Amino acid sequence: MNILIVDDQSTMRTLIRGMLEKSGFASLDEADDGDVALNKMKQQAYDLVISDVHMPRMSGLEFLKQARGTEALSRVPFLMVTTESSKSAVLEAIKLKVNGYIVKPFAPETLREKLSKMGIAPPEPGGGPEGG
Amino acid sequence: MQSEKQFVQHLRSRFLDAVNNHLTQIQMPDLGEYYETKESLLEMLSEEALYLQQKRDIILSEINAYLSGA
Repeated sequence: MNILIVDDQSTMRTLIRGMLEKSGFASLDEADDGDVALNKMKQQAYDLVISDVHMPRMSGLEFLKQARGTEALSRVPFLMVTTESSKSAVLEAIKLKVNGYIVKPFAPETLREKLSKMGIAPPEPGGGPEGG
Repeated sequence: MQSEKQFVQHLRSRFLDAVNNHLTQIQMPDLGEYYETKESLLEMLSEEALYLQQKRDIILSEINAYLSGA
């Protein structure tokens, strides 16, 4: 289970990484904007992308749009991280077939529940790097 | 020039983006477990302060530009 965390704020990436590690996810990668993330996705397969909406240069929505418009990346599950005020952004993300969204501020339990609803679970212990 | 409503909505979005990122960190019930040492925790707080300061400055500059009719 390879997960890509995309946020311009390094402290948020570290926090989300920590939440995922505590939930049992081990194969985690990071990108600080949509451009970098798209390049990483073209070079490596990810099972999930967790992306912030508010990012300079390329917004999370534009990133999602470009991924959905790229055949090889169009089916990668996306979980968008947004603020309360981004209701229009959420609607736009739903149009772009986002798989889920989470509203900041959020607790680790909220992230775990959201991933569970999306059918994403950490690999079984001892299941090897691909186990899960 | 954007309408007052559009501007307030934009500011609301900017404000919540800045504050909710920070709250996600500092409201974490077990925040200490995410940072193995006191130094790494202090480093995170220092980075958070910098992000918050940058976002405050952007919000202020946008308000000032709006008030000056830019």
